[in-house]
Amino acid sequence: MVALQLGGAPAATLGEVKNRADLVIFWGSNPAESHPRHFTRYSGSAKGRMNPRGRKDRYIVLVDIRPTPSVKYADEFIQIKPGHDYEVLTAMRMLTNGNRPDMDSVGDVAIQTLERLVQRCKDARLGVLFFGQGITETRGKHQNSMAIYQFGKDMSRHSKFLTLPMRGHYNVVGSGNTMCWQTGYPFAVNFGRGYPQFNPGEFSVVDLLKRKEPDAALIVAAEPMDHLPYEAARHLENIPTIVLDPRETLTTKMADVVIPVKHAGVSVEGTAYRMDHIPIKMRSVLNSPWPKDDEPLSTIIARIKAIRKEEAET
Amino acid sequence: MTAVKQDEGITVTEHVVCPFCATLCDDLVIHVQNNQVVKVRNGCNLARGVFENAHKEWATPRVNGKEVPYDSAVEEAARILAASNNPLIYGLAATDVDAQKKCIELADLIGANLDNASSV
Repeated sequence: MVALQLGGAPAATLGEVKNRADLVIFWGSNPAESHPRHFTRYSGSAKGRMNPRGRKDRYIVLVDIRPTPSVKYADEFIQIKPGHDYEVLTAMRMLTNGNRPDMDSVGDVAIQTLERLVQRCKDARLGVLFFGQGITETRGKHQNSMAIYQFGKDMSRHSKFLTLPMRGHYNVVGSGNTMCWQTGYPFAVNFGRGYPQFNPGEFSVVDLLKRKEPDAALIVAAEPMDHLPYEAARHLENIPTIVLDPRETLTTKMADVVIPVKHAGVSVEGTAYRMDHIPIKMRSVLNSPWPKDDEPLSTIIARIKAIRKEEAET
Repeated sequence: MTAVKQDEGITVTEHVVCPFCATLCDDLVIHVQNNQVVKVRNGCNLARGVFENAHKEWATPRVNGKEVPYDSAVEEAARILAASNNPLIYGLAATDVDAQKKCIELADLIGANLDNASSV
């Protein structure tokens, strides 16, 4: 996200990928296990307007630090040394811009291999680089994504080239978009001064919890006890924690207050944003006895206003 | 929405969107009997996991581990947040846009830190 703000990125829908892309690169992503139908619906075997033969009309490259189940769906697998994404991407940028690095290999990848890949990108009708958590969650974090975006920018001088993140949670794009639209910032926002302030590192969840700053927490549709680093998550055990979730999780088991809600997309309709920022209306197939999560949130807002008013009067 | 009632009390819903990953596949066909998903068509393993387990392990309203009426849990949540000096609101990635908007409204009201899963 920070990389996106620093570098900018050419974007397109997955429909463009399906209809036009003839070169697809997955970097630090294992779609066979994380996004199993991405390949069949959009990026691999999907038949599109300019890809009438589907898989045969696309060249697929997988870049990762180890072979994953996605390898068998790719035409080429490039294994790089763990923690060397930035170096490899920088070498690829040099090659894109006509400079050859003065070495035989970068991050355990032969320069010739990278030269071939860069040439493929330059020759592509539409090239797409999808990057996953292998890029975003590794050492260097947003600098790695930044290198990806800069490579995409450089490559755009030679061909149509896209760099798209493989987003995880089904509406994580929506959470960024909604926060942007309502507060001006996509995440790590603080309202302490009465207006929104943005500062990743200061107001981002892991940093706040590691520094033990929050004195109460409201968790909505997330699993911090499972997904956050333990040294951050354990602060939640020491402060009053409220959880809104349809199902029991590690976090509800630890929480001081549990408020069950309907499951968006399962027991209630709602809107979510696909990874390419397309809003999609979700359907409901089951009945749940609990309200949708915006109802208890509205009640909490009304009650806090009432409590404030009572306090002001006394 | 196309919902076809079948003979043995099974409701079939087409064009269902899968709330698991951000590919948001929108072509699932879900068979429901007695408020339980009995069949998932077109979905991947992850989608089957979401729908087939959706009726299991529902959360219950609780305060300090004890089951309470729903309104009491909401009241306690309001009390905690009203008393907090530096609250944190975190999550948002696995719910819909309306709930996200409410989280932002609440964060604005109580001067909270607000963060979502893209920061992790």
